[in-house]
Amino acid sequence: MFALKLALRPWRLQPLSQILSFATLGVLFLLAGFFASLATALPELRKGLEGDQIASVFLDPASEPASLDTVRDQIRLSLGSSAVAVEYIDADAFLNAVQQNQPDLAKEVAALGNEKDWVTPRHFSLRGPIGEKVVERLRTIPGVESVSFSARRFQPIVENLSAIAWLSRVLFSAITLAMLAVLILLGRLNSGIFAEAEGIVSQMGGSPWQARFPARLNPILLSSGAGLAAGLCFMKLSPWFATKMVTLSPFFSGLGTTAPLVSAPLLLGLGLAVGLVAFFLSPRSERAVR
Amino acid sequence: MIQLQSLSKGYSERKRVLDHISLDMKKGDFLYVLGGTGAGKSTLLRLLATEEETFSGRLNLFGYDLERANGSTLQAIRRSIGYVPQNVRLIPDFTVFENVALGVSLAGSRVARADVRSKIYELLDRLQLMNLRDTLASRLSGGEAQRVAIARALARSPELLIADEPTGAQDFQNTWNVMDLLHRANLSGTTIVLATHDREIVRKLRKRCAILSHGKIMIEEALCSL
Repeated sequence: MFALKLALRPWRLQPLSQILSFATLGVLFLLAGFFASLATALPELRKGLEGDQIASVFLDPASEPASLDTVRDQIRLSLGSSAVAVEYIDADAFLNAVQQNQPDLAKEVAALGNEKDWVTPRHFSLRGPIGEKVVERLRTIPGVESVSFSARRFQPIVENLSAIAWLSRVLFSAITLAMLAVLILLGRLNSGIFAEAEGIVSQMGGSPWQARFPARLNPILLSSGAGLAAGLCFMKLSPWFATKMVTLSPFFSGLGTTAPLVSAPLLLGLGLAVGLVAFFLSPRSERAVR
Repeated sequence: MIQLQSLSKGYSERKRVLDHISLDMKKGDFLYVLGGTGAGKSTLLRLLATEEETFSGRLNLFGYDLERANGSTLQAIRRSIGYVPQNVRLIPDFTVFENVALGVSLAGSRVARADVRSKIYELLDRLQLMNLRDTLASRLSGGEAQRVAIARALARSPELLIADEPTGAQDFQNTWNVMDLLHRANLSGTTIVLATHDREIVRKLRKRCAILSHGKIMIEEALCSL
């Protein structure tokens, strides 16, 4: 109990510096939480984009409509267990799709009557995680004339996301080190306050550990308190943050759905961890206690 | 309990604050350390309280040679000592009660946990501090702070009590309250070393005394005849 009360001495004797340090740490924890959430969410987002490929399997115009099911089965076999959506696009479906962007062309083709089946390409549209090897297998299916594949269609975006995730990790590490530096410097600032009590405790028979413990407990309390406050703040701000990210790019939709649930305990944990490191790295007070 | 053999202490090569002092004290002794300003009384008491650790000569406390004592021995020695320094050394943002209780908690198992509160209250009452028990030490007057330091030292039930001018800032009544408590502690077996300027105390409560001058013991009497 006395250790806790002694650890909180700077709050009584130098409240302004403690409040400023708490606020600084809180903001740094908030930033750390922001970058940590980006660093953890972006790889998932990248994975989703990498898995969102489109392949069009064009059928030989000479093939019988009856062989459609056989080709579909072959396509399924080639895809294996991948979660790829397979949809057959006949002439009418194709024209519907064309009508949205080029209504005149769609009207012209529709005016051809039964001949439109010869003009429009019959094909299967595949969407999902499709690899180059699968595309090669699709090309060898009997009745398939050609396969067009949107290989790496999100590649530039995926690379950007990778860079942002990497930068987020670097910034997270830098901020964590900055927090540690703040705590150690604060420990140095407070060493004068603790030296007096350390001397008294030591003089009355306290062990060096008992004498130094309050000075070292202080950064843990400060850091975990700031971590918890930042975590709660982050939970509150997370939906707003997710909305802002979506306005930046629709690819960011999905960010911040799980972050609010884990951010508070995570930031509290980070606070405890940073405080513990500061605990062991705290400078000794001016008076060496034997 | 205390053995000093040719104990010297100097802050510079030329001037020695204590100059080859030798002294023996047994358990239950009461010693006045007398002398003028700068005679070396406070330095001697600080050495006995292990507040200062550099000296030449030999200093034995409780049978341990202080020069050879390791950290844990030093702690054990300090736990057995109640020390009232001249500058009182209270924690200013702790209350009177907390300052005394901190001292007791660091004395280890010397004081039964169940008795701590009642013992502290009794001492505070005797020293007219009961109404100040929840007051911060920073708000106390010099005399009050001095009495808190005395309560803190006595509450630890020490084997050795070292007090540096404990009545220097007290009025007549409180001076004799303090002396009464020290006398009672001495009767119950506590060894006491008391530095004072107050000849009235020495005359009325006659005990052994050592008179220091320029760092040397000039006179040592079994029953002070001032």
